[in-house]
Order: sequence, then structure tokens, then C-alpha cells
Amino acid sequence: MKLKERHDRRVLAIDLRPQQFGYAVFESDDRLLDWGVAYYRPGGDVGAAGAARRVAELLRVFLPVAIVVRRVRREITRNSFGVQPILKAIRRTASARGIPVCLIARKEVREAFRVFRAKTKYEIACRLTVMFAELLWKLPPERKFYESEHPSMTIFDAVALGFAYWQCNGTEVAPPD
Amino acid sequence: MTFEQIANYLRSHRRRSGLSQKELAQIVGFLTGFSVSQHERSATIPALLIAVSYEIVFRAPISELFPGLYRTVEERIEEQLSSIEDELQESTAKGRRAAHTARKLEWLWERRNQEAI
Repeated sequence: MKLKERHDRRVLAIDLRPQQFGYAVFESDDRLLDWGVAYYRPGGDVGAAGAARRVAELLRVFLPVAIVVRRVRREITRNSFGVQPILKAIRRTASARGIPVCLIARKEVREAFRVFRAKTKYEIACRLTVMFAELLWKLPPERKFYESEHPSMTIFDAVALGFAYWQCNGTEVAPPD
Repeated sequence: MTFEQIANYLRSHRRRSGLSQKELAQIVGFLTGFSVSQHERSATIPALLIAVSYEIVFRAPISELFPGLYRTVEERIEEQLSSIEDELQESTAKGRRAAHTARKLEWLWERRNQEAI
């Protein structure tokens, strides 16, 4: 029996947060290999090293050809301040293996889902469960305005990033450090 | 950039099924999820009975579950077969031995043509 060749590209999409990241591994735009949340200590080099370790493990297992990360806003916010050193550490890990890091803006993600008329994060997550039925059980109930975000939503953000990567060809590829 | 072959798709099949490592371990006959984790990370190679168990659980052939391992074994076997074929073609056997050699060469030819189909 001849093994079926797969010429698709594996991509690791990461939704970075100061204390955790959600990840999704794609093999082509319609096949999800793995997804989950990785937690690490917030702030400084310790957090960055923890995140880089987790990313290195994912790179070793899944051998992606690109990492997709959401573009961090230039202006200093509480979120971007905590995420910058982690992003740098991930870029170092990726460049050590010769893997490019693609940055995708929030706007591009929303643009990718405009055809599905999904505007809010929750609508996007619902749309993703239609595309990837295996994620349905992970979908949290729609949050009320006084509730904080459900931890699972970071997985859907990562999957949305990956989906946007496949949708837009003109993604900016950051040169390796 | 070249597209490298992933070692195994065990984790992706398990994630799709919704099973935990411990649950899968119990199904295939381990006490803890440690061995399943090792197999998923390609830290160890599963024993034949366990590999067959994975095939039955996920209804996916071993060659699809462990493509990296399959490719490695396939390359080694093809090399061995082609070296045996070279030896047979150079053999100077006569009588019954020659018929035996001819049968082996015929089988190797059939096998190669089956692959092409």
C-alpha cells in the first residue's frame, strides 16, 4: 500500500495573552490537528521562557511551516505590555528553527469572517464550530457584559487566526531575528 | 521550505474523538496515560498489539496514524528488496534453483506493478 501523500502546509496559530496562549495546529484550511491552552507565569523573562518552551514542544511535534500570531498593538496597553516579551521569545524560538512568524491584525481576522456575517468574537466562534465540529463541545455560552471571558475563547481566537491566515494571502512575514 | 512528514497523527485523532489520554490508555490496555503521551510525542514506538489497538479505536490504518514511522520502514524495506532483486538477477543458478529464482523475480515485478496501479 502506498502512503497517501499530503502536500498541505501545517500552520501553528497562537493567540497570545499575558498569562496564557491558545493554540491551533492546522493542516490545510479545513483540517485541525490539535488545539488547546498553555498557561505560564505572567510577566518578565520567566513567563516568556515558559511560553517559548511550550511553543518549542509544539514545533517539535507538529513541524509547522509557519507560526501565525496576532499583531500586537504598537501603543502600550496592559495587554500588549505583557505580551511583547513573550512574542519576542516565540520569535527567537521560531527563527532558531527557520520558521517564519506571520503577523495578522485583528482587522484581517474580522475581514476573513465578514462573508459569514460573523462580527463579534462569539459569532466567529459559532461559525468556527460549523467548520470544525470537533470544537463544538468547547464552545462556552455567550458571555454577559458583566462576566469575564471564558478561558476556552482563546482557543477559538487561535483557530480564527489560523483561518484568517489561510484566507488572506498577503500576510506579512516577519523576518527571523 | 520543504514540508516535513509528521511523525504521527495519534494526538489529532484522539483530540477529535474527545477522549483524554487516560481514557485512551484504558481502552488500549494501559493503566495510566503516560504511554499514550509517549506515543503521541513519538518519544517511544508503540508495540504491535498497541498499534493495532489504535487502528481499531480510530478506524484509521497504522500507515495513516504513524506516517513518519511507516515512511521510514517503507524506505528501508524497499532498499532491501531492490538489493535482493539485484542479487537474484546476477545469480547463475540452474535447474530447480533457477525456476525458484525466476518465481521470486516475477513476484518482485508483480509487486512493483501493483504499486504503480
